[in-house]
Amino acid sequence: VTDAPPATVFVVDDDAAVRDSTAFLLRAAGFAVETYDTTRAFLAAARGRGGCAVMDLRMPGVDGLEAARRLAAGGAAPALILVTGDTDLPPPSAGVFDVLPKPLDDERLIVSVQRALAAAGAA
Amino acid sequence: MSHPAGNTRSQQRGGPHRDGDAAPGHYAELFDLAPDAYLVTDREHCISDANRAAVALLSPSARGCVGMPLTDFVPVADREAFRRRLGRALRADRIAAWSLTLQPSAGAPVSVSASVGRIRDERGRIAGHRWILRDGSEVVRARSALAEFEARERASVDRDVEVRAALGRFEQMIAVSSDLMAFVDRDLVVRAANDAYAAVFGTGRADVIGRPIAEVVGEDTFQEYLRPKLEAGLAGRSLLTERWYVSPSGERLYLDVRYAPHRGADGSVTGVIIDARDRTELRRLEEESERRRADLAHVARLSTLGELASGLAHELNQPLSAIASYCAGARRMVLRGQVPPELLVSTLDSCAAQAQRAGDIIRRMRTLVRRDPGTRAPVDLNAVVGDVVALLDGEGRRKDVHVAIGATAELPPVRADRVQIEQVVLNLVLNAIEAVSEAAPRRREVVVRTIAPAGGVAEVQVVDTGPGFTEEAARALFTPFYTTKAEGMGIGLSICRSIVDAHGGTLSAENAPGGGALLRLSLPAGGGEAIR
Repeated sequence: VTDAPPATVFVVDDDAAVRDSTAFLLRAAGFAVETYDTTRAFLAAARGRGGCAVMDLRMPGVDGLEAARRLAAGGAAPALILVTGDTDLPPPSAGVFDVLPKPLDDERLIVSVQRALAAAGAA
Repeated sequence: MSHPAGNTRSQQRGGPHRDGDAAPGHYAELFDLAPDAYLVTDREHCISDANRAAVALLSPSARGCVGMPLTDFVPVADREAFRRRLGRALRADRIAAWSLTLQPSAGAPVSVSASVGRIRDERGRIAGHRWILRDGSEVVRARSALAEFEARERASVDRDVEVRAALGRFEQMIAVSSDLMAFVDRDLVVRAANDAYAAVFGTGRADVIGRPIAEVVGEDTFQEYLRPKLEAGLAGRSLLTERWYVSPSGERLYLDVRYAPHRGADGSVTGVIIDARDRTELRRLEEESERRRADLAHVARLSTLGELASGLAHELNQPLSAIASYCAGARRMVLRGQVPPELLVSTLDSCAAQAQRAGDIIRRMRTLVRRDPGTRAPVDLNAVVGDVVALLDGEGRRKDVHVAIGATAELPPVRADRVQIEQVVLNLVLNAIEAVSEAAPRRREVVVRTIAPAGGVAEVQVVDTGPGFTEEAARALFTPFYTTKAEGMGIGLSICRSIVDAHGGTLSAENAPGGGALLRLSLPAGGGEAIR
C-alpha cells in the first residue's frame, strides 16, 4: 500500500457515517479521498477526471447503476466500485468495475480500489 | 276516673285492641267516652273491661262490674238461652242486634240491643268478645256506630298493610336485585345489605350486617378505594366509580359503584348507600374483544415488519458497515505506528455512536414485535412520528422516497396505547411511501406533519406526492381486505381504523389540495400535562 498512486478515490454515499468511515479507512490505507453525499454532486465533480469511486448502489435520485451508465456514456471518468447491503448483488454491467457487499471487508476494498486505480491509470 | 272500673281497666289495657302497635291512647279514649255501653269479655265471658256507659248501665252502685261473669247480669230465667246463644256467637264473626234483657246489679231489668264482635289475640285465637249494648230504640244508631268504628279500624289496618306491602315490595326488589346494595352508617358500619352484597363480601347477610365496612371489604380495599368515596358520601356528594375489585374470597369483580348520601327526615346525612352493579361479565367480554383486537394488531405489526425486513436490514447494515470501516482504518493506522491520539479517540467515538444507532434501530423494531401491554399513557405524537420516520428510513431509501417531518412544538399529548398508535402512523407512512414509489412522480416525497387544530385534538397528517385516491378508493380504504397492493392482505388500514376507533379518534383519507393523498389521524388530546 505504500506504493499507492496519488490518484483520487471518490467516496459517494448519502449516509454520513458510512461515507465518513469509508473515507477514514481509505485515508488510513494511504489514498487521497474526496467525499460526496449526492450522485449529482459527484458526477459534476468527477466528469473528466480519472481515479475511482466507491459508491453506494442505492442512492436517492440517481442510483449507482444509473451513475455508471452516465459515466460510461461520456469520456474520461473514475472507475466505479459499487457497494451494497443487499443480498443479491447486481450482475457486472457497463461502467461498473466491481461490486462489493456491505459491511466492507477492508482487504477486499483496498485490493479492488488499487485495481480500479491501476485500470484507470492504464486506460 | 271517678269509678273503680276505670282503675281496673287501665291495668288491663290491651285487651280490646288488635295489636300492641295500634295507637292505644286513641282507642282508650274512644272506648271510655263513647255514649254506648262498651264491654269486653274474656274467654270465660267474664267482663274484663267496661266503659263508663257500661258501668252506669250494669252497675250503678259503686261495686263495678269488671271481673264478674256477664251471665251474672242476665236474669236467671234467661241464662240458659243466653248461654246457648253465646255458644253460637263463638262460631260467628259478629252478631248484630241481639235483643236481650239484662239485670243490672241494682234496679229494674233493662232491654237492650247488643252487637257482639270477636276479639282475637296475636296468634289469631279468640280471646274474647266486645259488646256494644244499646237501648232497644237505638238499634239502628248502634249498628251504624259499630260499623263505622270497625270500618275506621279496618281502614287504618288496611293502610298499614298497604304501607307494609309497599315496603315489602321494595325490600323484595332490593333482596332479589343482582346489584350489590348496602347501607353504611356514619360510623362506616354496614347497617343493611342485600343478598347479592352479602354473597360477595361475606357468607350471608348476618355475616355482613353490623360489621365495619373496612372489615367487610378488607382493609386494603377500604383504605385505597372506599374510604374517600364514603367520606364524600357522608359529606353529601354522590359519586360514580368503576374498576376492578378483589373480593375477600379472592374473586375478581368489575363493579360499577354508585355512592349516594342517605338523608334522615331532617335532611342530615345519616349514612351512605352503596349500589354496585356487577359488570364483571361485560367487562370480561370487553377485555376479551380488546385482547383479540390487540392480537390482530400484533399480527398485523409482525406482517408489516416482514414487509419492512429488507429495508430494516439495509438500515441496520449502515451503522455496522461504518463500525467495520472505522475499526479497519484504525487498525491500519495503529499497525503503521502513526496514530494521533485525538484521531483515534474521535474514531472510537464515531464507532460508539454507530453502535448506538444500530441499537436504536433494534429498539424500534422490538417495539413493533412485542405484544403491546394494552396500557394507555400520555403519548407525544411528535415522538411517535420521529420513531416511525426513523424506522422507515431504510424503506424510504430503498424505494427512493424522501420522508420529511413537519412537527409543531405546540402538540398536546394524547392518552393512548403507544405501540398501537405507532402502528397506525407506521402504516400510513408506509402506504404513502408505496403510493409514491409505484406512481413514480417527479417529486418523490412524503411529509408527516403534526398539528394541533382547535377542539382539543392532536393530529398527524401524512401527505404524499402519489396519485391520490379515486372517490371509491377513499371510501373503501379502511374496509378489511381492500387493497391496491399485489402482496398486501388489505387488513392494515382496517386494523388501524379499529385501533383509532378504540382510542376515540378518527382516521380519514382525502386528496391533498396540491395533489396526492392526505391521511389524517386525529386523537383527542388528554393525558394530563404536556410532555415537553
